Amino acid sequence: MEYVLKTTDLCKHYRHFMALNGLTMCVPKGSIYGLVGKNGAGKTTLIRLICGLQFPTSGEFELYGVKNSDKAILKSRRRMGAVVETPSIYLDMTAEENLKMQYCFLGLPCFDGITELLNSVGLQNTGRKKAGNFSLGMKQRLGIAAALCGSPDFLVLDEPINGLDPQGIIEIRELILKLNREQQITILISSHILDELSRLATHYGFIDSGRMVREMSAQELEAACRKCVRMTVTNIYALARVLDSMGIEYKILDSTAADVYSKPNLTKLTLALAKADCEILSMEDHNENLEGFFMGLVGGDNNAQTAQR
Amino acid sequence: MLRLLRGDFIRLFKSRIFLLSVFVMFGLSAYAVFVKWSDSKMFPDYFDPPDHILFSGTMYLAVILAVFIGIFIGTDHSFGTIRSKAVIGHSRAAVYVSNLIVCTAAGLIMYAVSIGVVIIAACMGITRKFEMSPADISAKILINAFAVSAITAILSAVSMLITSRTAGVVTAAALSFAMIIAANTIDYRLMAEEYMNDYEITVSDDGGIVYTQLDTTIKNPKYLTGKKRKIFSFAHDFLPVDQIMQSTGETQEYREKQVRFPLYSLSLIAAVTAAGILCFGKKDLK
Repeated sequence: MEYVLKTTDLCKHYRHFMALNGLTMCVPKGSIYGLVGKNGAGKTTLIRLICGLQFPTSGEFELYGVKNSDKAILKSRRRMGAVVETPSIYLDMTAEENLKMQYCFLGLPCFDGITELLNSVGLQNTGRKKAGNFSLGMKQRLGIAAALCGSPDFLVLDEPINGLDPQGIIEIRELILKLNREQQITILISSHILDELSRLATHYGFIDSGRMVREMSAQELEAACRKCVRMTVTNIYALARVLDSMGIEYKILDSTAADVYSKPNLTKLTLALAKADCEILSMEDHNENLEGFFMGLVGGDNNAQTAQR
Repeated sequence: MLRLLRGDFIRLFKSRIFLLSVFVMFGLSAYAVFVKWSDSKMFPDYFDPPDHILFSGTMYLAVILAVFIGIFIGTDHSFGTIRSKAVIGHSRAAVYVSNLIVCTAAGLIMYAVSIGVVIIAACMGITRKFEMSPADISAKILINAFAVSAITAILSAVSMLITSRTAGVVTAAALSFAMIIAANTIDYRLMAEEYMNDYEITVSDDGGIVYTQLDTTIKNPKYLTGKKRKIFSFAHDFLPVDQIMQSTGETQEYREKQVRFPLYSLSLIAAVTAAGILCFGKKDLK
């Protein structure tokens, strides 16, 4: 798999505070990578390091295969756009003037494409209105438009829906999906609004206390959060044999428990297990959502230690 | 680098604070010209050339520049646009130097407006003609341009390293006032006479204090000697505001020192910029 961004044991200390503590992650090309973590988990610090706003205390990262210690990293950064925390826009200029400034800084020879960019973020009718008079959502969209100048193929968005109203959230979500699907832009998006991320992300990175607790694809997460029946039995091998013979999907959790992913005919299953000399100790519906999954991951020190191992 | 310069210059010429600063410099010089003109009308026989008002506006430039640079660079920090320059692949050094060049250009434009008003007024006969020769005027204009650039380099370094716009403006303004106060203090100490007249203090019959000047002179305790005088003299020649102050004074003494002034300004610009780039390069941007 080709990766746009790879970090290895990335650490960032602010005096005695450890914002990042050996973070390792990979962002696959073409993905929408959701960086999930509580406030203060290290999401923004990671983004600042990637964007070159701050420098790692130790560890390294690669952007398009170029290490951060390499001078060519500046060239790699020209392929990315970012909105870090608040959008970087001149509040005393109009939307069009802001994009023209960004074109200048990027060294683009002409201002072609600005109208299309404004259209794509829905700011085509702002005219001579200064960005300082924009709503929060409009500023956020202008920030994304500025980040899209120069057609980057990697977009980094730090908490892009923070403070937006429901309409603004929908607009940003649709814009992100459009950019990913139509322009194949890889997107790294940090958020602690899990429900919103779950509608966008193709990959997830769960971060806590500056460490990557777990990385997984959306399919893996979906599988982990699927509705199932959790069964505890005396003989797990017998259960596996019976479920295989019945063509039922399942996942063994340990020597006594398994998740069964479809509603089995309980009478048939019970009879078959009794025949195989296997007792059912318990059987309950199990339904975990993203929030529950996340809390399960970052809920305690043990999880982080497990992940580190 | 050229890309950054292009964008930053566009921003400069759109900047209201820049236009306001130019207008203030114009106003200060125009006021000085008006005072000269009204004096010449009141005392037509008294020859009062406009030499010493040529750089009077330049003295205030340190304060105007502090406010302008503090706001111009501080805005880049507070709008987050400095970090967007870094994100799209510009080196920290390029971002720093681009801002320095644009602020220096702005400072020189304000300076040109300030002296231009006086020169045009003299050429048009609004004030009297200059007593200084064109060569002396040209030399002083050029040397002060270096001094203005040195002041800009110091104030730009402060503003680039302080990310808060308000704190940046306050610090830059305080620094410019400190430079002006230091220039005046150093000038005052160096101008002090070595010997001063002695006075006798007596109490008159009605209880009043009477000062009587004696023929004898006594050593002035405030007169600087030895190493201390050398340090003050060097600072007077080295510091840019002091150089501007000296340009308004006696021409002969200035002429003897004028070769050193641009060298001092250039070395100050190089040292401050190198330190500024080094610190800005290591700074965590938020």
